[in-house]
Amino acid sequence: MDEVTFPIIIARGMLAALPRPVIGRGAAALMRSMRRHHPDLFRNLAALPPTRLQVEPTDLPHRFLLSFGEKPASLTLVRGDAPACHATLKGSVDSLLALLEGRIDSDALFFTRAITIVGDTSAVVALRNTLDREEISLLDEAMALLGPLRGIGRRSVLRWEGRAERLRDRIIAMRAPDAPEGRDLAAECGSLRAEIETLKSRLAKQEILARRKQGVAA
Amino acid sequence: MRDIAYLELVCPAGTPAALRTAIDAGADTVYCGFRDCTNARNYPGLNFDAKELREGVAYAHARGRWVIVAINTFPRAGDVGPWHRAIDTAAACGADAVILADIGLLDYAMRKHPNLRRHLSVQAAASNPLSIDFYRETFGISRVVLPRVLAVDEVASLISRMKVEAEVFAFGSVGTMVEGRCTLSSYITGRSPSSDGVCAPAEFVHYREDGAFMESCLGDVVMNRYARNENAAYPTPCKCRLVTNDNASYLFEEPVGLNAVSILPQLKAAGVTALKIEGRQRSRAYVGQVVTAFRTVLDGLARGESKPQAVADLHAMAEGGKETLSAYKKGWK
Amino acid sequence: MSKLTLGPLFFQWKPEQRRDMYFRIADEAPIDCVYLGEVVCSKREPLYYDYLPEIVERLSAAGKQVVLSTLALITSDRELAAIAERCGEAMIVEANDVASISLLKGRPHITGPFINVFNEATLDFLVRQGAIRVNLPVELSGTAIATLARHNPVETEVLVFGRQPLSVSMRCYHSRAYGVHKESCQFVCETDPDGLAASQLTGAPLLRVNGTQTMSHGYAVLLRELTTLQTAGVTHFRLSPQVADMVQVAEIYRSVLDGDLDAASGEALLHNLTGETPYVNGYVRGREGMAWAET
Repeated sequence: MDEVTFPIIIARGMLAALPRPVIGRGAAALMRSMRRHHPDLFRNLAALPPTRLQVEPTDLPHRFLLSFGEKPASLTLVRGDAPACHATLKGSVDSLLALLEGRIDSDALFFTRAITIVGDTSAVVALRNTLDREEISLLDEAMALLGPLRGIGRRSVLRWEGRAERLRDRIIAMRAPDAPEGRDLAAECGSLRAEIETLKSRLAKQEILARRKQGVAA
Repeated sequence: MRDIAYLELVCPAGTPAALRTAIDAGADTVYCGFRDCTNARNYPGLNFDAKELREGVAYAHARGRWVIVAINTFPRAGDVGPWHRAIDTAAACGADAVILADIGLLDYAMRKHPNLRRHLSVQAAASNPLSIDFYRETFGISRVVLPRVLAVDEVASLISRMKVEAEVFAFGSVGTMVEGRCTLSSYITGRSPSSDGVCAPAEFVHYREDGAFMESCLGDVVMNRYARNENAAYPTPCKCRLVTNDNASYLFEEPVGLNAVSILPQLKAAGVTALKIEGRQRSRAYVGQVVTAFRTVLDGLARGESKPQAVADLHAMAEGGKETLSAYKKGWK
Repeated sequence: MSKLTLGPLFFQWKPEQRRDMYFRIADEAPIDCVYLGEVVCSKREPLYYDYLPEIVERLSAAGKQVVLSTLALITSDRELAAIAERCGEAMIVEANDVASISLLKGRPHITGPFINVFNEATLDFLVRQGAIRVNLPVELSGTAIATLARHNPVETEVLVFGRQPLSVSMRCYHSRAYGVHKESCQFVCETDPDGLAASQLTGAPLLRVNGTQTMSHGYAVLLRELTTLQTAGVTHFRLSPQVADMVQVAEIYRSVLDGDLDAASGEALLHNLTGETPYVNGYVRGREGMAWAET
């Protein structure tokens, strides 16, 4: 297994755009910076039980192993067989980043099936809740560190930014009731449903009465 | 005397960050709990320690808002210590009220901290004027969080006959069983809202892929099965799919969220003091969006203006993308 | 001496079926105390009065203590009036809601399993209010039961046989399952004298629906725990009426309580009476309620 370790925090934005060695170096620096600026996050992550999560972005050719609890949090690029882990998180990069950043509510993501969890769900809930305790501007942290690479970084970051926004819009759009102009479909549905309920109710009563007449207990 | 012209907005905070978000978004009151089994949202990584509560109270008080602390589980026999400490800590941190359900704890809080407001939790399931009056006379409660079993006209009738403030649920994930009296979760997992502060704890939840379907399970029990493109809700026992008489259905309730935004004027007219938003387990992003929308609608209501965009936002945020008026609506029963 | 009680009948039985069961209990069963009264649904109450005087008379004549149980969920004026009437009776009353406790304050009464008694402080409070017997919630572990029973200065009662009540609701799931409205339900629950089976999508049974009440599919059978509970100070052992022959069930429990029959043999005999229904004892073992552990 060939592994390159870098903190989870840097995953956002730079993952697709930067070459691996750059990610490694930047990650180490970002990690140091993050730990300086957000000691509580690292303390809280370390306070969780030792946990290994496999993260599978469905639109990237990579899988990652995210570790936290006791040791400092790390994200490991996985090659080959799946490592032993507590749970596997699957979703598009957009969804996973949005989840980890707390920008989109995880419950909402689960409802729309943008993310699926196989295994120990509590490990994922613990991670999400812990990340949600911090108000972190990951972008600012990462940008400050990128130095000469800032241009590439910012371009890719902006791309993610846009994607996350679009994802949220899409989620909201999926929920919004279809309402073609000139017709109140919701009202029509409602009245049809009410009619069906009435008919069902009438039918059910008939059945019950019939059953009673026959003296048959269900 | 309650000011009937104003509806207090009571908002959830699972973390200090969510508390600040809720206050900034316009919450009048934020409720939270400690990081243990003393509150009914005892989830991993969630909730406050004493230092965080003290800071949260300072943040809220500096802006003229309230922080109230839910200590609304039932203490275990022989182990009441954590619950007593939670009440003492809430008082020491300057919390504006504690939300309690257990009779023994109400008794303790009244004797030990007579000046700390006591709210009766929904977990106490006080659903009639006689019960509420009993809690008021015996334990001096100032407010009751009404169980979600009453239609709007019943809420109005009840409030007209009680001498304490009424807080009602307005938005969020709600069960169909009377709270504080449901053990479906512990029947399946061994852990319940009443004793452990968790319903369907995450460590018992798993999703299993089965061909073209996905099954959501709680412990060894299959709660639901979804087609690939179907929305998957959290496997809460009262929202599972069950088979009766060879017919599979959401026997108790569909996976829907409560959204009472359409009946706020009626709730106000009924004499409701405070509106509660459920969701200490939700992210601060969610809390921020819901509180902002409710603040907008409530401010509009006070001025007689409608706020269609905020109302639309709330529809979009309802649990599972579907919403209900639950017991508030006639015929729900 | 350990007392055997028959809890209130949760299911909606036809008046004659109910009468016959209670008459047999009065005439044949080694039961010390019988709880009567509709606990689940106030709509059923008027039907409950059929044969009630005869039942009370027969049970009293047989020397059994008769207790009137009150509703577990009270919201309407009609329900308030009903419990006020019941609490005004000369008979001893079992309170299943705080509203009833407030009516019974200061005079001897029993608190039912729907009152959340999880700790000593709550128990002490109820005793100060006049409770002479306290039923413990079904969810409690054996450890918690033992702690409370030892602490309790009055009688302690625990459910040791029958489907466990797991939740109370305003909504009637029986009506929902049969596609009728609660307001015009025509008592569809009467079609299922043993409750309506609710299974998982896999077909495995999970729960039983009884109107607004949801119960365990399995029967709680705590025969193996009886000795421990007796030692801990539990004084009353409740059998919850099921379609099984309750007279024979009572005989088995009486024999095990008296040490005339060992628990395993009692269980074997019980299986002959209860058909396919599985047994559960998870809660008392400190586990998930639906579990069954033999050791």
